[in-house]
Amino acid sequence: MLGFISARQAGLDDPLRLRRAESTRRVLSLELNKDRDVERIHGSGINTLDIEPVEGRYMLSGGSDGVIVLYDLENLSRKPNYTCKALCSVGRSHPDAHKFSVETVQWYPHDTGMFTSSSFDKTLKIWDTNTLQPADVFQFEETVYSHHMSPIATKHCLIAVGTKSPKVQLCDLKSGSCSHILQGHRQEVLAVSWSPRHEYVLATASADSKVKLWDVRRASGCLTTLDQHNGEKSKASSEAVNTAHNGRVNGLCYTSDGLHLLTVGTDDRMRLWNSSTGENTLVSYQESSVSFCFDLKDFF
Amino acid sequence: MASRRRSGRFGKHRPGPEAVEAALREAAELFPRRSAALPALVLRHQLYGLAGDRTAVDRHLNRLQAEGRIRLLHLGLGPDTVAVVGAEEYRETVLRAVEGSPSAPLVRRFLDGVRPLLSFERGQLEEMGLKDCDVTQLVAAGVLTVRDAGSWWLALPGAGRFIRALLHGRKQLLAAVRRSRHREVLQAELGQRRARPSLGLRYVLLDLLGAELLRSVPTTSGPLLRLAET
Repeated sequence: MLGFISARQAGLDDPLRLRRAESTRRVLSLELNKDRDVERIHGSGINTLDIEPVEGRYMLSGGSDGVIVLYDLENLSRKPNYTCKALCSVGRSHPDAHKFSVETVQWYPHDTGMFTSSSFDKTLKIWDTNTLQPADVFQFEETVYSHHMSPIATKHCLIAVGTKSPKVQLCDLKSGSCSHILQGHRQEVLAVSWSPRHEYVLATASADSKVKLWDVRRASGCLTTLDQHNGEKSKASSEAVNTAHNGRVNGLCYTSDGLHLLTVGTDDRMRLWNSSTGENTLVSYQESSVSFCFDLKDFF
Repeated sequence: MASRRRSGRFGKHRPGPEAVEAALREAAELFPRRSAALPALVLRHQLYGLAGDRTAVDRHLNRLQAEGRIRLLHLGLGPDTVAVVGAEEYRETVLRAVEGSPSAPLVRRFLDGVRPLLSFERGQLEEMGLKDCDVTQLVAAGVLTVRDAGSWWLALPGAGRFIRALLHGRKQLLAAVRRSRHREVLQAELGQRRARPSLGLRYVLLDLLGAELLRSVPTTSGPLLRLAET
């Protein structure tokens, strides 16, 4: 470590090397924090968490019993041992609480006055944080698996919703109705995510093994369907068989600069994609890859 | 100090294309050349262990395929299992397999115009001048395998024998490990067990380790093979 710092100081190494070495070292020595704890409110499993992007002080959690709890993460006591308190919650007795499990909660990206939650009871609710009343409710025909609102959007207030139906719905906050439907998937849509780089680009992942990138301004369909074999993208290929994984695609995550997209699937693989060209970068994330580098010569 | 190579956990030198090429050659040598009907087939996951880095192997193989020096084939062992074979050898083997049959000129036309892809769709095949009846003939000849309605994998005719031998060899080795008292066998002792796969012990072992059906644990008496928990 000191070697890296002195090399950086002398100009022998470029700055990225020290940054990578130190962040890798910290990630590999990640441990559970023994001093901080969170007050226990939920009675059953917690499905989703979100920390507000403005200050990083308030956290929301959604449980499989339909309860949503709001926590304050700031340590105001002078002691290092601290339990984060729950400020308020939308419990089972709340008249507008979700009836079934809450799948996704997300803070409104621009301030903490509002948050959204979606649940297996086929609704997406927009909550006012101060009064804890739903300001709006969107009803769907099928159970809602996931929703996401763009963190950088200034020109639109669309929430992308992935449900059991193959159509991705975009709900507009300003008008209070579902303004778009994106057609293209053949089975349920398990995850949706807006790009942190382009406010109109959306990625959706479905149980039919496909991941599609959409520009919501375009009327004619998705931009690309990601192909794990990096086949040809010509006019002759219809992209109908391009699969991102060999099983269902469970989760999607953009890197913070929006240049790469990570997808995970039920084929036990995690894949990294270049989000502008849609090509598979072929980076492998298996820890067992190092374990059997044996030399065939010292064998028999 | 300027010339000192940075080494250590974070400065580990990533195996480059030369390592992947060396691994390819090594694995190809392990393939038994009993008959001339089959070219030296290497499975992609066998290279992961020899080269040590999956990313480098995948990227180098993709580059070689784009340059047209190798072909990646689908064998039918699973959606992820891909076989690597030299482009010239593949062409010779396929032509030899269809020699004398009425679809030989069609196969030749396909091989001349085929692009370096693993999977083909109807539109791409039409661009090459192949109609539906031609595609049916190619599937019957074994050059293409059905993937989905309107899309096909590139395949090797006559690969059935190889797949049968590989699966049999896999079963033999796995049974040998399972039969041992603690379900684990030292790699050096594996030859003493009743396992004589026709493809060669080292070839099948590389395949099992790459497909992660067996796990290799380093011990003081050499690597130990254990069944992967599923």
